[in-house]
Amino acid sequence: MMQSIRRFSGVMLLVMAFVTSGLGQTYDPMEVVCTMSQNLTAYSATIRMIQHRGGNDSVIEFAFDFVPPDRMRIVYTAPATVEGQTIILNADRFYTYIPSLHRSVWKQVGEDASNPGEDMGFLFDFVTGTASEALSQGVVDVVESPETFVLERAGVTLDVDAFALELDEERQLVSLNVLDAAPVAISIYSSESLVMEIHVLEYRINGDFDEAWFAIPEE
Amino acid sequence: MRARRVLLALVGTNFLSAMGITIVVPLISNLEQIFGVSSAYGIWIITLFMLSYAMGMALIGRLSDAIGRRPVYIASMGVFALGLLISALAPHFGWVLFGRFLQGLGASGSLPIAQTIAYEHFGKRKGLAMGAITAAFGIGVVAAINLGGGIYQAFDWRAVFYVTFALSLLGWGLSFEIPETLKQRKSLRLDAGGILTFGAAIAAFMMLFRGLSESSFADASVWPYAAALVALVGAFLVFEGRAKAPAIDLDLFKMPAFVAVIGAAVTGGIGMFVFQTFLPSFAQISLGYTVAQASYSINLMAATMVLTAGATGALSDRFGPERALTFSLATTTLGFLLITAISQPTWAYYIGSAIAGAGLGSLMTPINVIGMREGGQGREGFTSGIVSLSRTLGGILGPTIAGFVLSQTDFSSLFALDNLLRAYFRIYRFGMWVGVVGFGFAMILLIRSLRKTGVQR
Repeated sequence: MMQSIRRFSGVMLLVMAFVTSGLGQTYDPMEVVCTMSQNLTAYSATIRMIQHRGGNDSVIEFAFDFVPPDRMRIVYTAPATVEGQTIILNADRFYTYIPSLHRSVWKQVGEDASNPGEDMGFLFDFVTGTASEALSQGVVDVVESPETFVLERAGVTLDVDAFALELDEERQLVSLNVLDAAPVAISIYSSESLVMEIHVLEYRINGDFDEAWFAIPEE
Repeated sequence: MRARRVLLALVGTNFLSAMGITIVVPLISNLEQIFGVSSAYGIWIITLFMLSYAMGMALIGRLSDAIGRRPVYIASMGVFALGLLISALAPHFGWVLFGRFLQGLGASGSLPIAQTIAYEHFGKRKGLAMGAITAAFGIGVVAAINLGGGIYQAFDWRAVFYVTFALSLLGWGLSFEIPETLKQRKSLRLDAGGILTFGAAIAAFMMLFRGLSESSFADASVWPYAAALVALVGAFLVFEGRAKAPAIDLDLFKMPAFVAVIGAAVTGGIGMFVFQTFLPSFAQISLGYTVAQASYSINLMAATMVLTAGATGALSDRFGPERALTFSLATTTLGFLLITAISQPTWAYYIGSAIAGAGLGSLMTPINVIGMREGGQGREGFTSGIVSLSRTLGGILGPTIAGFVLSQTDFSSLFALDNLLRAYFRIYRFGMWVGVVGFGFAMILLIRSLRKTGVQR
């Protein structure tokens, strides 16, 4: 009897070892997010960002479209004071329009110039196809996190995995949709203080896009 | 009856000349589109005006002490009208600028000479008369900002100048009603070197900060202006030390009370111009107002400004100009504080601007009364010019520094507008601290006057 039990336990351990090793190969969120990022052809989303600065919080919402490697459009939808503000980046040309001031700014962007999209942390690395480079520049740890995230605008509850990316000057806590490894929530900390939160309210990956979105008006 | 007619003429001319000065303000945000010139060239429409306005103030006081208030006043209004006509008929932008230069020169005479005439003509009720003139000037400023945008939208930029020209002709006609109040003429000696180096130094200062807005100090388009500024200030001081009738009599600055008045005038001028210049665009950013809504939103500030300008005259006559000045700078500082301290943006905007307006409206009369009194009898025109010039210098310094602060805004951030709003908050906090310094000068004058009163008793 005892021998049968030992034999059964041995077989079960082998099966579990096989199953868990197999799961490990098919479920590596880091690997999936890097592959998704590299193969991305278009990304559209509605995003809410909360900036925490000296006790004052600023919240903005905007529609975000990105076509790798360097076409980007952002149209602000909230709050009312920024509604309609537009940012377009097309190759090396940057354009922004601030309706409340009737002000347009055109700029040539150099290779080392900062891009406003960088404020979105790892989400921007993901859409620009550079997720693997971003992960290789820091230390990655899988962390405990809430297991679900609600895409508010889409009204969908997602199962998520989370990891922390430790960089030189900041720490990013990133939640990924387990279905496609797309980043849906990012919290950016600097010196242990939460400085920025990025919440994806709805998104679409590799959908159709219109070239006209990225057309910069004549100066 | 005669006194009423004189007051009406002074009030009317100042209302109309103030309209002429600010009616072009709504054009400023669209200079490139309107005139088809680069923004760097277009901004000279402001720079040249302020330059000739400041230079004119350094000149006009001496001129009015020598050849009389009335002829200088009539000539100022005439030159102002001519400048408007030249801008209206301008075949190209260069002529618009030439017109603006003449407008600045002409406008520089209206307020300081009117204040001097009121000081000399109205005896014990001079404060009331000076307050009425300042109030009329304030109403003209705001009326023109409201009217200018409407005229431009209905017609074109030429119509703005034509309408102002017609108004200024009316003002010119009214100026003939003004009596001569100068009792003893002085020989005319003009310090051309001093005035020119002074004007050039102001231009260098403005160009330096404009350059710093776009490039670093080490850039070849920036540092030469700093070098020129230092050299021109040095040259100006040399000219003033040697001139028999200096544009700005440096001996006046040996009197502590006069220094305090000038300090209050400069700091008050910074507050006044920073508040007025940036308030409409602040409303657009913080409250999401359209250009038209933002223009109308400053009317509350204008109303408190006009009310207190009139009331401060009476207050100054009854309780003394030092108390009125202390009230003015304390209230201005409080307004600046509230606009950044109240967390609800709409309340912050309207309460802050209404209180600051009350302070700014009550500034001009007491500083002019104290300035003319401290400067001594027989040179009221000159000292009134210096006080107005100091306020104008504040009006150049404040917006130039504030413009530099705004230019440092990071527009390549997703929170660009938020950054811009923070820059506006920095500007209003700067205004508040300048107000604190001004309040300090006012307190020095108040304590001095209280001591004097105590000694006399």
